[in-house]
Amino acid sequence: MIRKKPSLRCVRFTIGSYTITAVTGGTATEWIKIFEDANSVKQFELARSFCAVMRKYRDNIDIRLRLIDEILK
Amino acid sequence: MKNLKGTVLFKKVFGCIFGGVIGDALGGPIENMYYKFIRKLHNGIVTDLISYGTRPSDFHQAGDSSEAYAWSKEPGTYTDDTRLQILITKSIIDKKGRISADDLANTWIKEMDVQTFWYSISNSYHRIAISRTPVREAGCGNIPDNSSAMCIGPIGVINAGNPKQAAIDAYEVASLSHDSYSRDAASVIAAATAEAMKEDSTVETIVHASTAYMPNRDTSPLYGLVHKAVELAYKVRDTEELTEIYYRELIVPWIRRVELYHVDDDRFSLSVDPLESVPCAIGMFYETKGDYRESVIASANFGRDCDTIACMTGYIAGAFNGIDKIPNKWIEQSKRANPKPDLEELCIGLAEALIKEKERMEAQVGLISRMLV
Repeated sequence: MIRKKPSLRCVRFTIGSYTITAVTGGTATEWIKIFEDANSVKQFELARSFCAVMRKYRDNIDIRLRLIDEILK
Repeated sequence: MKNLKGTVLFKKVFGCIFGGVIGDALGGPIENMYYKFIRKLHNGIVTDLISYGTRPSDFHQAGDSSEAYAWSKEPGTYTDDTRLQILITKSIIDKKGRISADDLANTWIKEMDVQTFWYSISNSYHRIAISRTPVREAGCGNIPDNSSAMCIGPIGVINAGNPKQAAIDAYEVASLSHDSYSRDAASVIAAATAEAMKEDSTVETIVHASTAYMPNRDTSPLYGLVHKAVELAYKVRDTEELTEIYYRELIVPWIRRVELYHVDDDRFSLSVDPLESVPCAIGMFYETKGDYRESVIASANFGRDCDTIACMTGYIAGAFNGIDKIPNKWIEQSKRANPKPDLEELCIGLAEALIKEKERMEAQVGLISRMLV
């Protein structure tokens, strides 16, 4: 269930016979928190893990670049 | 960076390509022979590049332009193994870096003289040339053989120091010619070559890399056979004993419905199967402690599909040792026997492509680093 945060605003607008309620505003952090609560998924943790993977991936390429530099001497 | 030709990188690229060419040309004149017959015909093992004219007249002969074999009898002439390798090398040079199956297919269509290749390659070529078969499905159901592995050295070179990526790229480009274990075989040779391109690689790290990153390693029959070949090599005194043991333990009979050649006595010993040839190449490399000359001589004198076995051993041992450890006489002989295309120019193009690949990796590292701030 989505819990409203203070900085989020509810807006209501009508298109033809439909009335749509939408939530707007808020920061990225607030939105991630909302999705985490709604889906029981720790997005921040996933993102952090992915950053660690990217760092490892970058480091591996770096190692290989050093190997090529060695044989370019 | 100093002049490219003075670098270890160039020596290793040159070593890999000429290593394969010379292995191919050493084994070519004694291909399809039983190992005991080779020793009888030549009064011992063959230790030099010899003429294809030494073949008995009832064996298939060099010089027939419609054969997947040497185009001339001159010592040092390569066979279809190197012809197929050259197409991969040209594709890498055109792309200035790693290639996909699509890239290689384009080079095949542009450059391949299909008459000079064996049935499996001819079959794949026609699938992509005269039908709309997807490139990566051209090898599905094809005849299992050594074609995917025998040409794959340059994929190890362009992935120098990264055997895992070499195994994956080899598996990708081999989809053009094979499925199943013949495709896995390409990964084994490419990964070993990529590891051998490292300055600090050892015989042990190369042998380990050959199967460590193999796609399908849990299911491929090749995985266990490479390990078995290395275990047997560990136990023997020399390559002659290893040859005898491999004939007892590793031979894969070629089951076929017709005889392709006139074969009526035990001088002949035919094989095209990577389940036999690839473990044999890795085992011979291990037994000779990676020595270039010894490993290709032992591989060539195995007989059967020995131009391919020595070619594959040659890629790995050539990259491991570099060009300085390959007898200069053999290099000059192979250049003379195979003037076109210029093999040295291809080596320079391959080394330059590797430097371009390095620049791409540097750009990628910079991009990721900026995002990780």
